[in-house]
Amino acid sequence: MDPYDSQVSTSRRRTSNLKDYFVGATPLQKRLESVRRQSSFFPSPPRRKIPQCTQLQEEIDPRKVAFLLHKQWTVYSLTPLYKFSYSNFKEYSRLLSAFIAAERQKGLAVEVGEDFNIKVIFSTLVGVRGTQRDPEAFLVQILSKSQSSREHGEGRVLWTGWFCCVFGESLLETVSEDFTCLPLFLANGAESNTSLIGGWFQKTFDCCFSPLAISAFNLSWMAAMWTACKMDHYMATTEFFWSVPCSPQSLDISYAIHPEDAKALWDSVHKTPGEVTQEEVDLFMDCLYSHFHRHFKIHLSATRLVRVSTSVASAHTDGKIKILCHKYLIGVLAYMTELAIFQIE
Amino acid sequence: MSVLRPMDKLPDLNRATVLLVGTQDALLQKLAESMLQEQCASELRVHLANSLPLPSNVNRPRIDLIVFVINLHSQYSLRNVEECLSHVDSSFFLGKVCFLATGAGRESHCSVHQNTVIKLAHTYRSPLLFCDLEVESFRVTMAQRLVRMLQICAGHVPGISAVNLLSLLRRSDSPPSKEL
Amino acid sequence: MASAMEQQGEKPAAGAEDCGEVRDEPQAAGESIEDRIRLLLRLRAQTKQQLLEYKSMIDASEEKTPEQIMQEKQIEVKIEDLENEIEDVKSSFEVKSLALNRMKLSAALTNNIEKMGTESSVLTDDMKHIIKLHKLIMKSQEESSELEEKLLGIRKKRLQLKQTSRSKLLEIQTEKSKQKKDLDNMENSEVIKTMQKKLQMEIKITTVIQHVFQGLILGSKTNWAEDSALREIVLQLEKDLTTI
Repeated sequence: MDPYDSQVSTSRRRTSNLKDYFVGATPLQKRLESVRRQSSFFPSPPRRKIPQCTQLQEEIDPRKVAFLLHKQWTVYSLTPLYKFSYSNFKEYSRLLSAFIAAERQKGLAVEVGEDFNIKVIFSTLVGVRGTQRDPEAFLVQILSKSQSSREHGEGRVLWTGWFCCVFGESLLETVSEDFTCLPLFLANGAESNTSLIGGWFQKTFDCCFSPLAISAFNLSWMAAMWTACKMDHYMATTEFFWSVPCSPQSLDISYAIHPEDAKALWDSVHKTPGEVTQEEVDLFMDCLYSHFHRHFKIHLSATRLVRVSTSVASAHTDGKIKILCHKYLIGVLAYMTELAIFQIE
Repeated sequence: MSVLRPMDKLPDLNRATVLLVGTQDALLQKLAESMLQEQCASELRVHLANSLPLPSNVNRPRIDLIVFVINLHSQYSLRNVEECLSHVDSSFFLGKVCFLATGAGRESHCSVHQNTVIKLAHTYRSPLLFCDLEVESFRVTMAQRLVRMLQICAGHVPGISAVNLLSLLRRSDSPPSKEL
Repeated sequence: MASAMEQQGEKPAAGAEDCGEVRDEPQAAGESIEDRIRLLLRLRAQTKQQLLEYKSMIDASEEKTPEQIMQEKQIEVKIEDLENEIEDVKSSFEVKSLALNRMKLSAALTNNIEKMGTESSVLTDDMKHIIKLHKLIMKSQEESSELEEKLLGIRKKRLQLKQTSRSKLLEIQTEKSKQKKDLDNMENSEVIKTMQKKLQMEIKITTVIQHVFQGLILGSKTNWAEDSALREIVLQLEKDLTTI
């Protein structure tokens, strides 16, 4: 039975380490490895860094990014752009404005003359990045040009959209040189404009937009991380919204806490300095749930968290966020980038 | 009896009993109906429960398989199941316990991460099945699987025992807790 | 598994009091004896399996479990080991049963063939076909190995040729570069330099002499344009020697 014994010994230890097979450094192999890793293990790092304002590599000028705060942004995830260059901004603005005007005039009689009453501006956003390796963020704005030639000022902003990438190393490693990785796209303005511009980008740079839906699990992580941020003064109360799935129509429960109380609760839960773990997040949410249960006898854990709103930022499960504090802008964007990258992959 | 034991009663002839534990009655009811509609040579009995321990005043047959249903949309069901696990005798976990996670299809509604459930199943060395119990076809398929598992656990299939099945269902890749 | 499919809900039609009794269901009134026998056999198999399970539980509980409190990691490692043991036992059992089956099959085959003798039957035909196929396989394997060897030889030759051509090209390159270097050296050599200097000197001297002659002729105030011989000489003196 000797040949059979050897068969027996080879059946031992069938667990194979995927890393042994990948020694090549080509981007395609790295991509394959990351895809395989994603498909077998679902990424949920048990610890995550609390966003700190000292993590910025370049200083963001608060005035320059002030227009990013206090606005409701709809978030999309974006695959890498092909052959995008930062020096062709004028060209892109010209093409995009022509495209938009053409789309608007579809079906109508063609107007003579080049005077479109909208103007598109591309510009870079300095400082909205995590490390030096992240590509520079850029901004697209649609302005309405005033009809009269006497006004020299800029027209009214109709639509704003910006692309950024904050700490996107895992994606940057796997793409080749021709691609620019800006996985996060935020838009504010009319939905029709968003779809127009999205279509133009998809055609020009061969990328793909998809709306980023934030699950209740990620919302609870965000709540914990943002409550953990140290703030000098709180400008908004901490609020949570839950949606109860029941017929005929769903109920909504909103729970508002004083932000200092929330911070005190977090501090009592928080053990490891500088990091947030899954257990701490669960404990934090459990405290809120049990407090609510004690008063109202409703199990909030059986419902679905739809919206979280803190002094740092607020997020809705449909993919809408609003950033309120410029100190933690990078931190919030880093988490959103991570979600976007996960959705792309 | 506060703790469920697998072998403390004699088996009834040609009868297999499964206990479904979960918080959402509607889902459990649907799953039970799908299981009963399966064609099976043995007689099936399905018991539903919201939580353990079971009331001791009811005369019930020997339970052959326990299925814990966890809804990934609600953390309450996960906590409930975790509490119930302490009321189950350890010899049950030799193949007679199964975890069923539902609701993984709609990622945006999930408040429990899949990793958590995978770790839980790994800690208790029991198989974890994913199924969207709302969808008819998936539910029917899962019911077929569960009925087959139940038959094996009740000893109605000669040559395979529950422990054998357990080692067959073992996942061959290492769990995420080791990776991270 | 028996083919009799009985579908029961939560309320059984009749309970079974003891093992040997056959079920008496209203819809199975027309059941034949075979169905009943099948049912009995199935119940027998079930009871056997359940008895086996209970026995193994008793055996397991007789084993002494270690009472000391182990750390969680150690428990995990121990569980892994035990699970691997189960796997090993299972696979060895499978392998052994496979071997036994094979032996049984071959024994049955030999018995059958002995019984049948040399007359043709399906079995012998099959076996002859199998042997033919095996021979074919071996032949084609040989051919393919030959072809592979030829291919390998050709590849080696090609590699050699490539290497020799590469070395030849390298030689050519070195030769060319050497030539070029020699040329450069020659141009820069001292001999040429001195020769060039002498040439320059001579040209200068000649130019001076030319100018002197020019001066002589002009100074003599003769009309050199009329005389053809003098004109030729003056024109020749105008030639610039550095451009020659």
